[in-house]
Amino acid sequence: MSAFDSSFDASFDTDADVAIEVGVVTVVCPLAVSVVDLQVFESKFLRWSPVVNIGGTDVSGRLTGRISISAVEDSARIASLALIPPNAAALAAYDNAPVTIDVLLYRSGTAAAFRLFTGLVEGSEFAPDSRVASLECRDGHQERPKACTTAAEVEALFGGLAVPSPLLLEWNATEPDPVSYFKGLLDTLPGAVAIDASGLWRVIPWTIPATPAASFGQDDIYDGSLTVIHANRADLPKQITATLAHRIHRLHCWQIDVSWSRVDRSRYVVDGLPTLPKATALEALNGLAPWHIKGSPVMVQPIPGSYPIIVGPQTLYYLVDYPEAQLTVDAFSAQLYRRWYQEVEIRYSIAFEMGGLSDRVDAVSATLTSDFDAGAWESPLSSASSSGIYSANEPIPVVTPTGYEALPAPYPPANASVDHLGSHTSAQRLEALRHVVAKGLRQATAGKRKQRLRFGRPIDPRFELGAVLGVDAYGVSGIGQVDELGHDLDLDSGDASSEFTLAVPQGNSTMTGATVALTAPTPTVAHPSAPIVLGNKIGAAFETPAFPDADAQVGFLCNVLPTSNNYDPSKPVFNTKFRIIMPELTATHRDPLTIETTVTGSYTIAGAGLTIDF
Amino acid sequence: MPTTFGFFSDASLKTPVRSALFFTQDRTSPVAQDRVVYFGSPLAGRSCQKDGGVYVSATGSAAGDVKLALSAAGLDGAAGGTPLRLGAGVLGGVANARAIYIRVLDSTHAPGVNAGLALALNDPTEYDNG
Repeated sequence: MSAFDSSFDASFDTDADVAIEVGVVTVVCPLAVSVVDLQVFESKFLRWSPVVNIGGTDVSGRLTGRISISAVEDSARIASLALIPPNAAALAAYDNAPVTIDVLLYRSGTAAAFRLFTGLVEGSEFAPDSRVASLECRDGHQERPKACTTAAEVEALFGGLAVPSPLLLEWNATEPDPVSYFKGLLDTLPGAVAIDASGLWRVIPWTIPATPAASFGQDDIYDGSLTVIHANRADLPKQITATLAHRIHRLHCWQIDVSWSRVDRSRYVVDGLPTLPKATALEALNGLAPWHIKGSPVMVQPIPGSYPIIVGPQTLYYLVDYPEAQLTVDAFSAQLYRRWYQEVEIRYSIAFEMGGLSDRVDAVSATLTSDFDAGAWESPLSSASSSGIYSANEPIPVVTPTGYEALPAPYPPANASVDHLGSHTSAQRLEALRHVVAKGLRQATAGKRKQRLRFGRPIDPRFELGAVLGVDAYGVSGIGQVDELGHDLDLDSGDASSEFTLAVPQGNSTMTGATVALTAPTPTVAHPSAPIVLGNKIGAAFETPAFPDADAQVGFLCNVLPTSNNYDPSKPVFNTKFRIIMPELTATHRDPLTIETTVTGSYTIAGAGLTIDF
Repeated sequence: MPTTFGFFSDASLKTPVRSALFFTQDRTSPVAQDRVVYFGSPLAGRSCQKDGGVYVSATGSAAGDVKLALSAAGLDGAAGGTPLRLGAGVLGGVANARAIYIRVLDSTHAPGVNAGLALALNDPTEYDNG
């Protein structure tokens, strides 16, 4: 690199020692400037001549028959022509050769040159008897997206007007499919793409200003060529709705205080009721899955000692020794909680009114699914969560106790819920919504743009796809955007004509676009938090109901001894146990839920329609 | 080994400019037209260098009617006919392609087609860096 000046930076020092000189770059980019006198279009007696260049050779003198060129939004521009090749080698050289088609227009004292087509020869047919070769040419519209290697390259083809959403339309870097990605983005474009007559890629916004570039009256168009095309029933439903369904997890936390206290101590003596073993209480509390104990229950042990019990005229003593005190409880309180997730689908929708007379409603929808592992969140952590790399003194991170240490975050507020939207950012979600709305808007606009005006006139290459033209002829008037055009040059008859098809949608603006905002609904869940105060249910006693309500028999279930004066052998006898029944979830907070939300936003569709006067 | 640097219609350097870029303007109310082409090589291992820098310039009749810039905004301040410096050199690869913005306004206002214009380089050399 020493041969070059100091302005070369390090990026050029790839491997100077092995750089091989390839050669001098001598390429040029040819330019052509056509200064035209638009007065040529004011004459009905227009003369013309084609200039066709194939593979760098002017073949205008060899043309025969007719030259046809057609262009449609989002499609390749196609040209067909016929010529008599000078020899077999020339015929063979036409294959895949670059083609330009120009037209020179003359009237007395003035002239204009326009390019009509730039592309490649796609295929040819040769008729040996007439020596005429018919060439089909295309502009390479499909090849542009196909040649892209990155998402950014595809997106650049839309000039920033398409609405990408990696969440809904993913670019696969491993196996790139630029054509599919292109089609996905095209579905969101409020406009069209096309290659113009000069071979340049164009993004055409669907805009129809009130003032057209040119307006044509009855004298400007061919008699009988004006056609009003109404949208088909299939293109014009009553309504199109665009919906983004966001599947998320609603995380619930229900928390209830539970408490119990013993019977009066005298009944231990008089009725022989048992005391409540601490183990029984803990077993009951721990056996309530999916309810769990938050933190640790508060167990109130009896204080060892001798307690006087007055029974009639006698005073007895109830003794609590130290071992018994350790194993029984006088009372306990605990906070029980359960948490679970509920599948919620939030549907953000916007409706595009189409004005169709049918009741049909078309839908454009996409689904965004949260990537949150709600199943793992709901399940308690395994006790074997240690990494297993320590034999002693395993470091334990210092955290603020939540009471939910056995469960992973997040921790919804007690007796309420939070909506976990996944790891997607709000910007990504808005992007996804805009993507879906853009698809709906495009479908709606495309449907309305099926209302069209078509007319023919002497060749007029001034206007490209996207040009806004007006028509006021035969009682029909409207302003629309060229979405289809064709040029036809007949060398045998000398006729040269153009046909324009204008989209004249009944819109509500001069621009096509949509603005939306996304606000996730806030859950308003309140689980009942009334505390459960448990008592003692005593069986085989006079006080025992003959037909107890089974669901109400909660707390410490025990029986009086047969030796008790309170003993009633006819009454139900309980299995001694501690019974807790926690409330069940309601379907509202358990079953999958769909929430319909109307998107905040607005849309506009360019166009003022047309009028027909009889 | 052929050279690979050239002018392309697209930023991804897939479509070489094979025919003249066509600019049309009205004789009576001329409006300058802007177009963009891309210069580069699709091969990442190549470079295009010239002592003093790589320049592109309009050549031919009425070359002074052509303004060049590296950005659309730069066209407003560009002087007609002035060569555009693309850099000390241009590396190969799509990411290193240079966008060349072109604005043409024929000053003669004479009806007709001027096909004698072109964008040309200052004879840089292409290297294969291995």
